[in-house]
Amino acid sequence: MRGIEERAMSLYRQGKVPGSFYDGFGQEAISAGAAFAMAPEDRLCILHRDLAAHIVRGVSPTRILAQYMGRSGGLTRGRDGNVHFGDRHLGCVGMVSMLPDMLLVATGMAMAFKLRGERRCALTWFGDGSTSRGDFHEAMNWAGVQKLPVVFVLENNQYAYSTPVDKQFAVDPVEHAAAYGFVGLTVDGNDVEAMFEATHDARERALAGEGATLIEAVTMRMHGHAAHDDMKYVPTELVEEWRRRDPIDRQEERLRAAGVDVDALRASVAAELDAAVEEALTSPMPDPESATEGVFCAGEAEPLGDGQAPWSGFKS
Amino acid sequence: MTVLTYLQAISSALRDELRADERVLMMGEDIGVFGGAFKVTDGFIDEFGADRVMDTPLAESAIIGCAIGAAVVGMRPVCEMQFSDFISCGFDQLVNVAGKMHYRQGLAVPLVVRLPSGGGFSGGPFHSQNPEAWFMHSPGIKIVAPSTAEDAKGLLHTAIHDPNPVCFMEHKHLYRRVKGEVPEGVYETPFTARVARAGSDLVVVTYGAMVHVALEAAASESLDGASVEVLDLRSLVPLDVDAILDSVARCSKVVIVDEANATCAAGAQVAAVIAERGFEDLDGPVVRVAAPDVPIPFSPPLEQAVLPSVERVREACRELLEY
Repeated sequence: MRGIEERAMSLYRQGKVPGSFYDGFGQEAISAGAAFAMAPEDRLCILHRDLAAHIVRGVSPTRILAQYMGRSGGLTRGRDGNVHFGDRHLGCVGMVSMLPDMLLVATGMAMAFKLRGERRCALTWFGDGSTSRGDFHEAMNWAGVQKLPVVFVLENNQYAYSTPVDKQFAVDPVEHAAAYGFVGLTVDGNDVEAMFEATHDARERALAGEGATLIEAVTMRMHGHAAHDDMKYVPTELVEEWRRRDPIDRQEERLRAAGVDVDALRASVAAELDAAVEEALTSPMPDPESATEGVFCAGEAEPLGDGQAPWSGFKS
Repeated sequence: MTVLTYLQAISSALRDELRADERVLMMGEDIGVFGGAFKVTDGFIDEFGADRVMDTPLAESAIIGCAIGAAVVGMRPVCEMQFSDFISCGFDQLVNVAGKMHYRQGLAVPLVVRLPSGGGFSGGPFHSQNPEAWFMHSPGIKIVAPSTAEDAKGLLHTAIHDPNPVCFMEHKHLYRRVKGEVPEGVYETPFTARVARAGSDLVVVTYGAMVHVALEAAASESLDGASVEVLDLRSLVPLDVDAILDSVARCSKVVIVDEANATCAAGAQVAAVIAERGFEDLDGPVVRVAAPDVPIPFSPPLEQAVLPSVERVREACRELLEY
């Protein structure tokens, strides 16, 4: 995730990424850890700091980079930008800019699973700012009333654009979970294994008919809201403090201790991503003639497919 | 064929779909145990159970949002807004999530939102609106508005079979006032216009409850024997441009009637289409009759002053015929 976003930022600076650029630097453990805990038949609504979830589900780096650049080889074929995508064949629904909206879509997917008696689960991510809007309440309430198999991952990264959490809520949102009738817990969002464990347990509860879980993943947004944002409103010490808790550094230490050749792994990922950049750059821009195509579905409605979840640690 | 009211025809379509397709699911406030504020789903819960005729929390954004989630994993949800006015609370989910999904991601959202709409019974500013134009301006959402019992059932079947979000504008004032012969079983009425009354001197283009107002106004005895056509649009998205231009070509004079507020109403789009593509066929200005741009007032004399009446439509026709 970080490797793709670093290369995308470089492409942005070269003027090859239109619009702005959004990343999840420092928050990688949240989407990676949670997505690894989900099975292929589960369904995800993925937000803009959660690129790792797409990768876990099986989206290639080339398509992601082409997406950033508005190329025809991107996931939305240039129809939407940056991380506004979801590969429907891999069980993922792309976000909209009204960030809490996907809480309800995930709740509705879980509702369908429960109605049909299926052992599946839906998961969505959202941020601290999202908890201020009504859809957060409507989704939590609905999931509580109907005891639905859904996992809500709140990424508390301390800032919604420039608004700090103390201007966002008087009570930590994780405390709302009890009021809605389900489990709420706070996890170190910079620890990928803790994220995996918490999501795995939440999924188990969901499949056992015990309803929803709200996981608050505490982290820090290490970059601006988007590439144009210099984040002057964030105290430097706060960023420095969180830099020492970098989730990738922490996982690297663990891997080295376990005897993994991290340098070789890094080199192979870097080579793969450099090749992906080259390939994405060869993807043509979309044909302007196609701009009005595909507003409506003309054939049969095809529901979401299963994710490949190729490295999923999930064991049922 | 059986004779059903407009409301019974809607109920019949929903019941047939619930019987025929286990993916079909009703969601709404008070639609289960109570049978719906207008009793459209009366008794459904006994036949289909509380899971498929779901009493939801009082939360329109959640109704639409959860229906979207259910739709993309293979269900065919039919949502009821208790009054179409309340779709304002579900606007974001419908416009931004459902409406844009297929264009962005190729993911179909087969979803029907039933919108009991319209005034004429002192419902006041929050129970009388005709919000269809809000969604005409939002790509990715189809909109149909039946005026007869037969079309109410047929268009609803087509809407539920459609792989896209469809707003089904059912006019409350027609629920029990309009009845007609309705075919048995499942049939699809196309999302196209229908000539409700054939004529050659002038065409009234309209939809929904205003079709009945137009038909009464167009009765030949009241217009000195002029031959007035009434074109019932039935579908606003897609808009049947060919049928509109065909009527204009044959009649040369056009009155467009909206029950909705005039500015940017469906009829304004019809007028624009005629101006762009039917200008050479016109033999007079395009005339519009619509509600003025005010909230629909509560007190009967105020409400009647606002809603287009038979007399206003007749007067508009008379003036244009004399042009």
